[in-house]
Amino acid sequence: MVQMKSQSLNSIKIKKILSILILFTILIVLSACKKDEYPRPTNAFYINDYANILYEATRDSIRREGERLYESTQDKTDGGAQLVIATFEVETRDDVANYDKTEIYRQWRIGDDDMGILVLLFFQPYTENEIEYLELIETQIELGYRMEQYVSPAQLGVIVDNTLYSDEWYDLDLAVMNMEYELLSAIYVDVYGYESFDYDMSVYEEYLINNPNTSYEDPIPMSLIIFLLSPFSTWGEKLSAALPFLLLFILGGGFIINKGGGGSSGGAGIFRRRR
Amino acid sequence: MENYPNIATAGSYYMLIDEISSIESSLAVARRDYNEAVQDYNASVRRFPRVLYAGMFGFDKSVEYWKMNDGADEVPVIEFD
Repeated sequence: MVQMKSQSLNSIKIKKILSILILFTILIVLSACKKDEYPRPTNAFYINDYANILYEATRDSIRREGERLYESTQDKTDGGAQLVIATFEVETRDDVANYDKTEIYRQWRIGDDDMGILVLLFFQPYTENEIEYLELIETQIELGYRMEQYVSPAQLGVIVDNTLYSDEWYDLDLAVMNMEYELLSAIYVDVYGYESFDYDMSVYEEYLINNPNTSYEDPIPMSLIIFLLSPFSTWGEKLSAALPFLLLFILGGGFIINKGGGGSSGGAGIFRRRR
Repeated sequence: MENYPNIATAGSYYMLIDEISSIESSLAVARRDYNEAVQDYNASVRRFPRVLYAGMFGFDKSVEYWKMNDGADEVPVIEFD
């Protein structure tokens, strides 16, 4: 009788401990799930086209240039620079005020040791001949704390006016890419002392016209996915088709996941509305 | 170009405006960061058990928020002569 009582007491204790543990686990999970104010950066990191306005080729080029900059400057003084572009669609001009460039920069932690530049492009929809378009209404650029020492807001303003808001470009992708190249040029030359950063917009223009939706690093082709899901292929055929991609994934370091270097910023930068 | 001084100075004007607005933005962020740090400190120092050793080791019981002086929010006049 006494033994049974002690057993039931033990089970009550275990239940109590378990319920406390579950409660703690729920609290920890809930605190970890604290909602960020702004969307998280995409895995590409260097381009976050939330307005879905750029061609895949442009997105891919910006990502590759961003990766190249980060990797090639990591061993230098004040290295690990990151140049990140994000596009947002807003209903009205007033909605732009809901985005704080400093907060986004800090949330995305751009650049090693605050060596980063964040470009925000805001687009507003408008309708013409019953077709809806997006129009660039405002550009904001935020400089990381350390990047402020090298690149001035005046310099950024000149770059934006001469590229993004230039009448030279008939296409937004070309204007954005031109701005990307000019910002990269400022970073490579003014920050890291490279002699020059050469690029040719006519080459990019031709590439964009011929391959607007090409991505060099499409991890899994759609045809493979269809083949794997197909009821007409055997398991052996599926395995032999998937194996090369699996090997490439393992040996090649997996899918693209870029991350911020942990940087912060303090509000320096520019605001530019279309004049 | 000499006959059109506006064209020559427009670029410099926008560059100056960019610098000024950047400084204004940096100051606003610095003020906000400072006041958030003050808010955290004031809330933290009143909590148990910090309230005990904050008094023992001479920490301030509260810190004042940063406030602008009278007239500091007026936009300064920049003259271009």
